[in-house]
Amino acid sequence: MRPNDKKILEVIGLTNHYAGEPLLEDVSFSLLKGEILCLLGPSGSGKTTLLRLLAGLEDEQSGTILFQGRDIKPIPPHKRKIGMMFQEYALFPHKTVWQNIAFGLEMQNCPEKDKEKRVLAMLEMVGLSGFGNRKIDELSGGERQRVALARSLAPEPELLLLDEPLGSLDRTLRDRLTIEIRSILKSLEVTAIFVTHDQAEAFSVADKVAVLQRGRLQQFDTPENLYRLPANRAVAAFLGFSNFVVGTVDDDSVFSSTAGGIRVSQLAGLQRHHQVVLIRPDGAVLRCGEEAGLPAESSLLSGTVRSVCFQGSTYRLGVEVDEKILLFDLPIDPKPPAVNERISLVIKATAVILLEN
Amino acid sequence: MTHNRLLTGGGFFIVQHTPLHVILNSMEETMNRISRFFGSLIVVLAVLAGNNAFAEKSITVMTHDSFNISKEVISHFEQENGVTVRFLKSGDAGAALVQAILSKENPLADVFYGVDNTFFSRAIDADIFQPYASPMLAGVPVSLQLDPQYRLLPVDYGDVCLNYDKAWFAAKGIAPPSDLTDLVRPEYKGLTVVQNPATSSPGMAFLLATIGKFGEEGYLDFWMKMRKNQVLVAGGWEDAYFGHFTAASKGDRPIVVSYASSPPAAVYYSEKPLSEAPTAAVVTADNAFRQIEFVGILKGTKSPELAAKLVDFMLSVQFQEDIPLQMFVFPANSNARLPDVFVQHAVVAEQPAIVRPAAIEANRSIWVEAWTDVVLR
Amino acid sequence: MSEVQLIAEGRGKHCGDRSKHLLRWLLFSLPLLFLALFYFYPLTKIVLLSFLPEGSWQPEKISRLFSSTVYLRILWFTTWQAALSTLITLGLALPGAYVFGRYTFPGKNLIQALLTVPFVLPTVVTAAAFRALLGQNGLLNGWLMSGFDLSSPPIRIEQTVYFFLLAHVFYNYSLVLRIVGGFWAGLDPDVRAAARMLGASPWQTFRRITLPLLFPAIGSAALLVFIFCFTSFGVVLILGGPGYATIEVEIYRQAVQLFNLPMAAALSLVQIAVNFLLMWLYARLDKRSKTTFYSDGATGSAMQPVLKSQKAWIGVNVVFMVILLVSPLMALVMRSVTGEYGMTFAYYSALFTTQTRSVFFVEPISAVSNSIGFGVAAMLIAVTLGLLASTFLASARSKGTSLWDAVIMLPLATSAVTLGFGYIITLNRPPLNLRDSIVLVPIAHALVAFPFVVRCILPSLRRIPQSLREAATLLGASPFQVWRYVDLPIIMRAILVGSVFAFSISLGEFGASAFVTRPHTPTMPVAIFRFLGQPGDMNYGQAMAMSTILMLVTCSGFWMIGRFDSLRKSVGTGV
Repeated sequence: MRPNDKKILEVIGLTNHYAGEPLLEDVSFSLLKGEILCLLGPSGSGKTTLLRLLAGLEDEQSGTILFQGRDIKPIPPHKRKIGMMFQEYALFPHKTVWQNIAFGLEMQNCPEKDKEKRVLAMLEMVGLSGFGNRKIDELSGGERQRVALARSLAPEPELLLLDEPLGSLDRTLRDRLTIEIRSILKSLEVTAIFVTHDQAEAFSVADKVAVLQRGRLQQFDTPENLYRLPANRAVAAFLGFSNFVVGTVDDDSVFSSTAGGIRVSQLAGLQRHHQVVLIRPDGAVLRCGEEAGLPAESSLLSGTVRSVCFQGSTYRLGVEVDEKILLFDLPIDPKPPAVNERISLVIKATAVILLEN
Repeated sequence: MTHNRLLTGGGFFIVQHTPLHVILNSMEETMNRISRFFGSLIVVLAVLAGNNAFAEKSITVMTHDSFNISKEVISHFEQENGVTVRFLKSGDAGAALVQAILSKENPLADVFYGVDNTFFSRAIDADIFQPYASPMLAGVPVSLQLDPQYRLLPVDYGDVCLNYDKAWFAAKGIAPPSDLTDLVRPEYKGLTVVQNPATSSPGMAFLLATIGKFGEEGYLDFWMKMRKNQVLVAGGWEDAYFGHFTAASKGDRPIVVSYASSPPAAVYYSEKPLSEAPTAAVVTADNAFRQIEFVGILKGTKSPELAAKLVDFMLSVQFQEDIPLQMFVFPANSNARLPDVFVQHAVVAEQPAIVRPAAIEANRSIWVEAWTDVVLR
Repeated sequence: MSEVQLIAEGRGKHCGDRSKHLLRWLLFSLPLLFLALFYFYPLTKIVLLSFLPEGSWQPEKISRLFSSTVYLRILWFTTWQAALSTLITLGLALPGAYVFGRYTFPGKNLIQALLTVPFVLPTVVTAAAFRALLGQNGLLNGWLMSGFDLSSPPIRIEQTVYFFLLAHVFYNYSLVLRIVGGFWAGLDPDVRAAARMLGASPWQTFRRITLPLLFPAIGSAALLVFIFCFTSFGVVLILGGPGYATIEVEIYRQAVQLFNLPMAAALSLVQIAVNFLLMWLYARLDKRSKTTFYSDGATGSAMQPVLKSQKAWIGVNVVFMVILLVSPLMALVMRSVTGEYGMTFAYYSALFTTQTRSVFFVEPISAVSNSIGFGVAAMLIAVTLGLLASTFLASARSKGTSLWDAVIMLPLATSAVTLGFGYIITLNRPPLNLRDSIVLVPIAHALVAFPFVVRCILPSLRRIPQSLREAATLLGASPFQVWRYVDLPIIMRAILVGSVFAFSISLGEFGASAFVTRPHTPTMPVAIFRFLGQPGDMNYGQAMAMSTILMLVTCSGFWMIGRFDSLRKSVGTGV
């Protein structure tokens, strides 16, 4: 089940402009066979453009796309063996569920018997056995999504592109389908690129995440690394982090700010020009009473509780520190402090990340 | 003014060299090239459609939509001369003539049947007919022969005049009309339907009848009174006769402009045999216009001898005797015997109103325009 | 601007790689060639010849065009009557389009077929039908006079504006019904529901949501109706009376009666210019308002009426249609079996006997088969060309598109007399020696029907979301396969509608009387005209009988197409 180390896709210096505005700017990355890559970024960041360039629905202006070691520029889209699942599914309204799924196989002139088997298998895989004769307009949103997935997988594409496939579904359905899609993709060992603007979705589906902003590739990493060490403030902000503290770097791996000194773990990359730190919300522990000294590699932050929000497994506290609200997630035991209570928090140095501003 | 005249007068020579002409030619060139490419497709289509335009020996007659003749009569000519006679119909008499004129460089047909005296001058001016003094003209009254150079030979005639519904007048106890001037009498208010001379050839003929009767000075005055007397103007003969005439359908006008030969047609085409015609024609002196139809050989025909034979045949007794029951007009050849239904029910205008063909062509638009102003606007 | 929008707009540019561009023009080359050969070439040559007889320019022949107000008045009359006819037709037919688009009910197929029959009827016959109903001695006046004890007929519409407006509605009702109805069926009901939930009243929903969404179809239909009424010849001439003249009538008068070809050509150009301007404006507007919205159920799923109010609404509409459109047809049928002495089938039996001995006599059955043969040929040509041209127009998003769109519509707006004369002087040499060829008949019919087909297909084609084609492409479909398996089935209904009208245009012989014909292969309308050319009960009766046969043939043809459509749908989903 482990992806072998063969590069299936290599993107080198891809650039596209439209009417003088850059849609993509010098994007490069590569992907191993069987990996799932998530393209993460806000609207207008160039995710869809990148996907369409890969699919061949648009022509690149400069740069190269190597697919299985070959430049795919001269290959027309219908011969690339790249599948795509569209945002609004783009199911054929004049065909039944069965006919939709069989379409790609028919285009390959797949023998009738194999086709039947394959469609049945696909229906079963997405949990829609017995839905073959349904019309598209008789399906619910989730069912359509599954048909779209089955349709794009049926011809066994070498690479599957998914353009915000869960965009229009409700949260619970989304969460469930995210996991289902991942397990289906993994069980078929399909290489896939998944476009989303939802980081939770990206983290739960992807092996690798590429963050795009204004057409530039900001970071390309595993979800864990991305979360632990966002490359810059913009990426961090997009990942949903908001605890940014401005200050200067001290000699002693301490970041001085108006809120006090904060110990930083990441000594290696410590540079004078780093003027912002991110404190991850999961890196704080409530300090009860006047305990003996701080644990090693940590610092102390005091402030006033302004809000308490129950989130299930944690409480999210809004703590005012030096006229700025920082957010921290605390375990539900012990009972959280009350609003307007003054508290002290122990911040683990591993949860403090220096960023380029 | 002088400048204009110079341009139009000497135009032919000059324009041979103008760019427009060149453009026209080059356009043709391109089109020919395209058409050669497209041609094969058309040929295939033509073959599929069973087109027998390429039959060995044939002669083509161009005519108007109202032309008709019996099958046996034409077969007789075909067998005698070993030839197929093709007919082409191209709209009403006016439209057919315009098409013959437009195609004079490369004529569609050998013989043209159906120029009438209202279009006579136009046909002569366009110079599309070649002279042929048929020996058969001996049987045709001189009064019908308008062309001394024998380019157009009279072949049939019909008198355009008033028709009225006998039963309607009998029922109402009103005397039926016997003269055009009757129409403007108060008791005839709202009884008459005529055709628009701008769009109908009997309408034009009837306008000419009024011009012949009242003169150029008096005809508008007559029509002014007609308008006051609520004359109804229909677009064409079909509409006037079948749409408004009480004797032909559920119309409300007992007087209609039609032909002197319409009463026999009404008898011939009645649902049940009639001993008496339901309608009558008013053919008293000066109250009708004689529409004479001519036949001519088109210049550029590839078989002039055959065309001449066909014209002779059209003027012969056999063809002429077939005309009345096929087209409901009178044969030009006075040797032709009329069928019984004509003998019993048809009348001929004794003294039709006369307007010279040249005057018709020259004044047509002025007369029609003036008529339109008086009657319709 | 959002990403999606940027991409959507960029698509035309980025995707326009050379081979695709070439392919598009290759598709368009056939319709273009057809237009060039059978429209632009003859038209240009006749116009040049008219303006330059013997090569010289004779301005005095058309000086009256500018010096007299008569022509301005004619232009004004032509325009307003066309605009008014279009508005009235739209107003009356839109409710019908709604009912036909949204609901299924018993007899729907038959009614729809009947409603299309007027389209093929010659004007003289239509006039006869309306007179039988509304004339001075017509049925309605008869009833009113006896019912209310009146001495004179209360309804007098003979030779009035109302008469030909009524006739224009009669002719064009089905056009709006079919084009808009088909499109309406494809609108997602959810959108209307959404609007209602946002607090819009039914009327507001219609005005603010449904109407804008329907615009492409309404525009298409309105444009066709307008052009038809603008170039109206027989209807205005016969029903309006000679007091009213359209430009088309004046062109005929100038060309044929007065032999003033320069004036006829100038008026033809005016007519073309006015319509071209309108069509170009419309094409631009249509492109801008292009709605990408599409329902998954858009193959046209009409439903059974459930509520009482729905049933009542359908009932009201159907009754209205029957009164307006079907009753004149019935009056015609009645007339064909009513003789001077009561009920008779004499006219029908006379149709089948050779009593005239004429060289041109044909059995009615061969007139029927001639008509159908020409109709099918014209339909095939028009639908092929229309499909190609629509595909070209729908795939392009450049500025030139609206211009091409308008160019395609030109034949519809062109005087038949002018074009007919153009054929005489152009198609006169091999291999295009077609002036008197039987092939010219379907070609001339197809020339008029082709713009129709485009107007029927284009809105549906444009409505298909690009993503459907892209999805098919990425599933391995070549451009042709995409067209074959995605575009074609989705626009099938529109193609059927286009075919119906192409066939009807050919059956009704629009404007074809100006062309040279071979009298040995008469069509049904020609046969009708032959009967009406001479006096006599039998002639009139046989004309009515022949008209009834024309109606029957047309109606059953459309009914079968309707059946085929339903059959196709049930087969399509029954896998």
